[in-house]
Amino acid sequence: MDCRRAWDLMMKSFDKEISKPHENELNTHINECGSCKAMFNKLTETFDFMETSVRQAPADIEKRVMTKLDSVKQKRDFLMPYVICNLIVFTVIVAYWLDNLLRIGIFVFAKDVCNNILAAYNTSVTIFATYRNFFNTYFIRPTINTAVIAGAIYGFLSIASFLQKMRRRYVS
Amino acid sequence: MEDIVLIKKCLNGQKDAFEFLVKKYKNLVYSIALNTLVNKNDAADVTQEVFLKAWANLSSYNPEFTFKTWIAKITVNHCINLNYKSRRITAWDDEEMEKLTTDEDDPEKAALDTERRNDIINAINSLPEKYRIIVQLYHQHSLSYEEICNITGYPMSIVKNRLYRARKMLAKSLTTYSEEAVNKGEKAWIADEPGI
Repeated sequence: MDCRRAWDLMMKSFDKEISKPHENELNTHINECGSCKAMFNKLTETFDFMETSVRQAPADIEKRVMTKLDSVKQKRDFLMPYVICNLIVFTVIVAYWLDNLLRIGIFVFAKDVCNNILAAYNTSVTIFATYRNFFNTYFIRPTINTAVIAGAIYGFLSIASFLQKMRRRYVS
Repeated sequence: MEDIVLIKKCLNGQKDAFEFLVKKYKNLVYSIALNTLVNKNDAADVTQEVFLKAWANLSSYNPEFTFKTWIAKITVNHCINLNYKSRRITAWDDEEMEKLTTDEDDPEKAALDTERRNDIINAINSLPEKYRIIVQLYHQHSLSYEEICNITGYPMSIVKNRLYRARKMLAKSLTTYSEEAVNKGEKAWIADEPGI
């Protein structure tokens, strides 16, 4: 084996990825070649030295950090998807509720303006219409009931997304 | 206690849990700070700043990686951003070397050890910074290739190449070959070659 090959095996040895036959091959070469032996020993010594010479931080570091900790505010991820999701749901519900209560026609206006979301809108209108007809038929005060049910849905979604957030944070 | 448990406690506002993390990783952060860019006085400040930064951004910690990798990454980035390069003295100064001399009973051996350590330290200090960071993360802090990639943001090929070249440079500066061997070309491969 030449010295170049021995060097490659040394690298594997320092990476702790050397196989037993290669280790034997390297040892045989090192015992025969003085300069490779010197180099291997020197590098081994260097890396051993580095491993054992992790510098000690000043003893008061914990104290320094803990003293300053109160002045540092932990950043909260306010733009978490659950917040955005809740805002969208809340906005839609409030808009629908106001529309229903004040007869402003927000959804009709939105329909005129946003033709590109017409399909989605139609679907939602159909759902809401079905929903409203159901309450018009079976309840005396549909608007109030709508608000109550909307609130319940919002609450349910909030809890669901909150639980999801907690799961993401604490179940790794 | 496991790091992840401590982190969860920290996120719940339990500051004393963070003290355990500081205690556990302060030497790592301090060593990286001292080795990479800063002098000894600045390293303590950097250590403090890194932990405060970690506390502030703990909610963005990804449990996929170990806390050790995460805090090391913050430290390396923090040191680079500080641009303390010009203020750096050496990775090991005389005071540190005195502390590392172990054999107090045998002064002759201790002197020899000191001399050998001197050579090693000079060889490490003479490495260009981009190589020294990699070799220290790998050999001093026992981080894996993958962890070094995560910390430095370099691809695996660059990390491997730099470590390979750093070892070659160390070998070159620590070992003296006979003129004959070099002339014959037996050790010609140890000479520098273009690296990344």
